[in-house]
Amino acid sequence: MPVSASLTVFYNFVEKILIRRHLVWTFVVRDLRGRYVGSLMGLFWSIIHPFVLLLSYNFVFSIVLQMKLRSGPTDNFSLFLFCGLLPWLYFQDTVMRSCTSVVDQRNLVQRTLFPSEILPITMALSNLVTHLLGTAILLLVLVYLGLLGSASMLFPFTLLPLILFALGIGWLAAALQVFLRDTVQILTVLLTLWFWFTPVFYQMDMVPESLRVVMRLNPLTHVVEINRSLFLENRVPDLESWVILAGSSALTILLGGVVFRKTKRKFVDVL
Amino acid sequence: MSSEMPSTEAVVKLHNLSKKYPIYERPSHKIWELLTWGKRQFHREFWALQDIDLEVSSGTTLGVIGQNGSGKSTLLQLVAGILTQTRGDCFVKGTVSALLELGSGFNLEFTGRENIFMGGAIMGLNQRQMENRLDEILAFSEIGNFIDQPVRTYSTGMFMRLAFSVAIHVDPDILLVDEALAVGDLIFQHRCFNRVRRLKAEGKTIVFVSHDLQAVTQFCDRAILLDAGRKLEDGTPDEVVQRYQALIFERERRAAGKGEVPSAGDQDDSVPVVDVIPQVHNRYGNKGAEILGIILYSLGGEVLNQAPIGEEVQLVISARIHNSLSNPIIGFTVRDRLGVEITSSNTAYEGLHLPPAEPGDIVTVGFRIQLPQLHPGSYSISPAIAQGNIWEHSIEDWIDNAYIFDLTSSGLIYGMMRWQVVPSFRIIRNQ
Repeated sequence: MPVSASLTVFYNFVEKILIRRHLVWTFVVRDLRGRYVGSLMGLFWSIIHPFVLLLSYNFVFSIVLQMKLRSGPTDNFSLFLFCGLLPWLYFQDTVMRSCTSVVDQRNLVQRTLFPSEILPITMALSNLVTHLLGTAILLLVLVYLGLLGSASMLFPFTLLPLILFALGIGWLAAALQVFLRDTVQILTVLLTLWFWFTPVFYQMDMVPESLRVVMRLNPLTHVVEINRSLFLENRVPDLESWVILAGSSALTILLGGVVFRKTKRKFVDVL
Repeated sequence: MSSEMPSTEAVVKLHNLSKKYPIYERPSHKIWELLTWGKRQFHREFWALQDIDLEVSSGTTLGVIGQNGSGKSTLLQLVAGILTQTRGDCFVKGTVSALLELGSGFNLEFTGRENIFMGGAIMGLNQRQMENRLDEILAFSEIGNFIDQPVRTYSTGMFMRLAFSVAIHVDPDILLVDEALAVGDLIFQHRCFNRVRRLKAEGKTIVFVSHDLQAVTQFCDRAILLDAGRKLEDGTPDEVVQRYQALIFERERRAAGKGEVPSAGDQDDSVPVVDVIPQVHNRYGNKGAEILGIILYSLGGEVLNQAPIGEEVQLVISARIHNSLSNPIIGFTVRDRLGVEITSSNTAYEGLHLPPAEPGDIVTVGFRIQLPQLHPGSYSISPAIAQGNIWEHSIEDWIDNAYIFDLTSSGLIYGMMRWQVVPSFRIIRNQ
């Protein structure tokens, strides 16, 4: 019964957001413009940054450290790293920026009838632009190296759960931050831990078997792993990873949405 | 008044509306409370608004007045739906636009034009709806070519004008205005009021929170007075403003440490009863009491017909009571020889609450005065006794120019009076 009640709450919540999609769009544009307003090359920086990052990794890991992967179709460590780092950075940026988003816009929340739930959505969508540009660079390099296969077309099926998961956590963090201003500090620590428990810098088969089970509970593990097999191995991973990823993202966004919706009415009281 | 018209329906209905804020001494208290699942309280309660009953019918302009912290803004935020009430019902029919703070959604880095669309989006209007209003908004705000410049380059006046234009052109059924009109230069304020007047003429419902009592009496059909979260008064703007002024006055008096009702023991038996009225020029009143005498004494006790400026003196007025007066007030007015009123005062104004008086009582009041640095010459004092309070009273007896005295000065006084002036100087010499 509480499950179906939560679903109703969530459904109404999403419905209201869809009504205000124009506002969401305006805020995404505002956020993107706000980041680059006054800069000469604007959004172009979003391409430069991941590109330079990839080159630097290549220099450090492939040329200087001469790191090789144990298995896989490519022994290019920097590409391997980049595949994992892109979704992680998307997740981290979205959650961190969402966390303070409501408090930062307290003027709007207190003074206008403002749907504060769109603020984390804004972050998720605006970061998506950077994320997609980074992914485009990766794909171009893969095409250039002749590594890209048809399996990479399944990429949207990891992207969508990633967005939903990041938004769900983002909503939770934003709501908590309103009541407890230490949340952002706690989150910084948690994200550091989380980063190293996500196989960004290493392969899953380097991890002891006993720990692997725990790591598989982390949805981001699956995003990273699936992306790597799609992009680098041209292989579609087994259904289990997809199911865990989809299920945990759905649960997270539901939880985040319901918590945000329920606590939202108290925001103005404590802001 | 128009609020009494039976045909109009209530668009805002508040019933027992209350808003409580928890006040936490320390942030950690919030966590403790959360951990005990709210079973133990770690906060104090603050009721910003309590048991407000209010119905505003369509087309009414309602003024909300009250001191800072009386709950005016909370009321608007509740009606706007920004806040959720702790208790009670809040029913609002129609679209609401709240001008609580102008330019809340503005981004300083963006141009005026971009911010217009931004502001519209926040208030729920899409691109096309805003485009239809754009010309009008631009014309009203008088931003001119600056519209395509970043808002950070605007002057405060321009910023406010643009923000107000956007807010007012959203075209709501119910407009909530919180002091926002008191912005910009006088000409713009005038135009803002005109615009609000037009909205009023169009039959919009307006709730108007202001400290500007004149604006409230001019604009509103009805007003309410909030005090410490409660509705104290509800009626015509004139009535409510008067009540508010009386309230403020009372508070200020208390704050000054005066205003205690003197008991029999508090009275000053050294004040002499006087029974001389030097001249009766013109006398009127309800005759519920009668002025017996008026004399200006030096502190040494001698009767003064002339006195130097700066001197401390005592003006004594005695009156006999004929009808019982629950709130007697004794006072005086000073005029110069041309009849220009220089000053007036009375017991209520000075914070002395005289006890009720019965027929046959003789009430005497002494006013200690330091004679001001007025132009020397002849001045008259008119004594009076009245019944009521400072805002509403009936004159029982009034004698024009009953006492005449000469104000003398050893020095010269230019004009009507001398100010306390301390000069200082600096010379920069041409080297």
